[in-house]
Amino acid sequence: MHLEVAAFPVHHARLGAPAAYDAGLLTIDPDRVRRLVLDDPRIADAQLELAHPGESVRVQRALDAIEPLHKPGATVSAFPGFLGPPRTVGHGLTHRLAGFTVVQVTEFPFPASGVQAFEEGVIEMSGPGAAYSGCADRVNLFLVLTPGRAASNVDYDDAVRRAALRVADHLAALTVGQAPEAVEVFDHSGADGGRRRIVWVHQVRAQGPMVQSFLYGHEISGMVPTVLDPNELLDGALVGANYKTGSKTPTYVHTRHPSLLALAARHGRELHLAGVIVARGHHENEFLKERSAHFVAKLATLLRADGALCTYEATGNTHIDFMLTVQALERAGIPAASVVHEYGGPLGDDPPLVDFVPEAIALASSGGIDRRLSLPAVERVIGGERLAHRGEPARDPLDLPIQELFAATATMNERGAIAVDF
Amino acid sequence: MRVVHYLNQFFAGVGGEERADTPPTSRPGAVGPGLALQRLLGEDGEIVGTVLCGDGLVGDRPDAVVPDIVVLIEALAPDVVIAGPAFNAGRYGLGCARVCAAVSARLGIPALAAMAPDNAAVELHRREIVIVPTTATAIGMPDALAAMARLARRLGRGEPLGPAAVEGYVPRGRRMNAWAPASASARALALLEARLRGEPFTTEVPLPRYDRVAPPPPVADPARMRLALVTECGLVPAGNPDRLEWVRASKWLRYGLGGVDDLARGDYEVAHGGYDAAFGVEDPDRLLPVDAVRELARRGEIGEVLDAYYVTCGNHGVLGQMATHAREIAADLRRQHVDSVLLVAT
Amino acid sequence: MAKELERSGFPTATVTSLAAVAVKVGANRIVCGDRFSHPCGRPGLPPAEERAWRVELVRTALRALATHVDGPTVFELRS
Repeated sequence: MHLEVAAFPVHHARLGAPAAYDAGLLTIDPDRVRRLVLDDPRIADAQLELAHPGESVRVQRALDAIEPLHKPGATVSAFPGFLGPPRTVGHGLTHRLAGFTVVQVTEFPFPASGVQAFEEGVIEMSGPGAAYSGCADRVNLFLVLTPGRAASNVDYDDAVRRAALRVADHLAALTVGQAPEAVEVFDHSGADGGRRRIVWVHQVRAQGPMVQSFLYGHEISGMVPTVLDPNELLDGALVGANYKTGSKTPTYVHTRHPSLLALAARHGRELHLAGVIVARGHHENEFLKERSAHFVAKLATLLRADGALCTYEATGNTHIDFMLTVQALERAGIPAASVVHEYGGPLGDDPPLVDFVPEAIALASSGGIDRRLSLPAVERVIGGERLAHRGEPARDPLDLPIQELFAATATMNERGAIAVDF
Repeated sequence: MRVVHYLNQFFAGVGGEERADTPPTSRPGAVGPGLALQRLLGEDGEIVGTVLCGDGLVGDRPDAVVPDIVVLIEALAPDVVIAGPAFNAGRYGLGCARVCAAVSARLGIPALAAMAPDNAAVELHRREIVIVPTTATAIGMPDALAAMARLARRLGRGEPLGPAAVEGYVPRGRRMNAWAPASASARALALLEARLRGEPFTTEVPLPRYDRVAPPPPVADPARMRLALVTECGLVPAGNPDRLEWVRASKWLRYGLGGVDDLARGDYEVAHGGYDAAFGVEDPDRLLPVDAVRELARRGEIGEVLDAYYVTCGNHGVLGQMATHAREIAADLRRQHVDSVLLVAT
Repeated sequence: MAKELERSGFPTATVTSLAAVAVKVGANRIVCGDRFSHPCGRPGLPPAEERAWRVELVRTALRALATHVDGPTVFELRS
């Protein structure tokens, strides 16, 4: 498949009319956005907030963050299965509002406990937390939402996701007819020419509501590992709906993952990007973990992979799924190299990994997630005056482990965090 | 910068194994390998004195001699203390490490030792003191002295040391965050490509080694045991009265079971963020098998069951802290005359 | 936690859904439980059968506690 991604960078956004994109400035018409959101009676109200990098802003109760994509005049849409029919994407032309996200900020209407309870992930737009926080290096539109006539948290979650995607599509569509700043071409369909065939194994969270991912518009908790063309991810085939703290992968990372970008940059020269294997983690028992791990190894073998680059989302017992997958790949004769985030406690003197296999000999570190940060007081808060799970005043100085920052693990990968021995 | 050098009897030129009982002694200026070390330090530091002690004394009776060694060192008023290099000599390595640890702890003076990385003293002391890795034998003396001089300058000036791999010391057991020029994914890809080309590569995350614990002897007769129940599942009385955290728990709790035969729905809730709590809420025995344990006790298959249970939350538990919790629970179990445990883990 | 309890001298039967991890970490007496969210339960069974299963699970733990082991050993329910 041949895909061209046209980048329209956003340097600044403001509220105003008419809505427009002009040379890096995005004008957002709040009435149009509100109408798009409130078209769904499951949402009662929507307020718009903007934040730019470096501002003294702290955001909580943020769910997903989406970089807007739009496919002008195409028979398929970006974010297939949500904005359009679930037909294969990853070809043609896609417009991208680079460096901009749409973020839903909301409480859920019904109580929840255990893994379904919302766990805070703070977005920190400036100060020492910004380096570890998702969204801190881009311009963000926060849709601060109030639940309406939703039957359940799952029902409200569906409404909120679709609303944000409608808004993202509307904003990206403002660029239609304009010349992009840059165009990237992604095409992995040719012969490998003897170059080493590498697959990217992308283990995502899909345990159920509040901790899940969507592929072509449907959740994937029951999915065995499957194969995608890398271009499908660039067009939004995979949408994140994991709301846990720093360990979530927001949709803007699924559509521009550092693994995909690293591989695509070298495709056709040093290597051949043979495909993406998407698998879910957090399987309930060893039988299912082993079954999934071996599926991944089999798919990699069918793709004639010479090597596998492996990453995973979230934390806790999903480390075990991941390590079993690495082990299965190695034992199938496919060398693997993986990105792992580390624990280590607040001082870094605890063991870095919860689980490992002896075969996991090539690991890149994305840093220790439970070191602590001292964050200063902020001028503006979005999403509530008190933090969701401990109730401290949100404007005050905070002492947090890194993993309580929004999308910290994915951000640390992107930005080059690494834990080193002292 | 005033430097004191610590040596054993051999490198100080006193004698070999037959003089391993040489008591702590102070000599002015540099001695033995200290002479080359002084040349390497140049104008940046002066070895004002050398303190030596026999390996037999400092290795076998450290409590007796290390305080005396510290007194001799203190009298020389150093800015930094250097010990060794001990290479793979076991007692000398221990001596260097103990002297450095004592100097750091009691005098607050920076100290560094040098020895081979597999010297037994390294694993025992690398967290407390800075250790420069050397070759196994004295064939690596020139490189060892050069590394010691380099690090001594930095420590003597009070400069904080950077990462172990950069500065050239044995990792002291702490991993701190830094920023690399490439994403972790790009670095993983570089590792993969090196592997595929058959080139050497270095993993960024060394795998842990789990120690073994000798299994305690079995219970002689379960019909006479006194069993306690412990759960990591975060099961707490409804209302979570003591606010057990459901991630990275900072405490453990003990709750009485009130002699009940069965844990009832509604009496308990789950403080654990890592799994779906619905099943445990519906029947708490699924997380703490009280009903089964009581039944077996009634049938005489279990002697006694402690009428209380212990709980913490195993979600992202910091391992060092969980170990502390377990030790404290063990102390409580001893007070309750328990002799065996059934642990439900997550 | 199992290892620290054992280090303190208590024979400990560890009921877990992840026996392979427990072996690797080095717990010595390991009992295979059911799924992660209900190690001592089998919600798919009718209540009386689930209860009987749980009694067998605890019996297996007793067997583990009464058995001499030399290192990590996994005990499974006898059907």
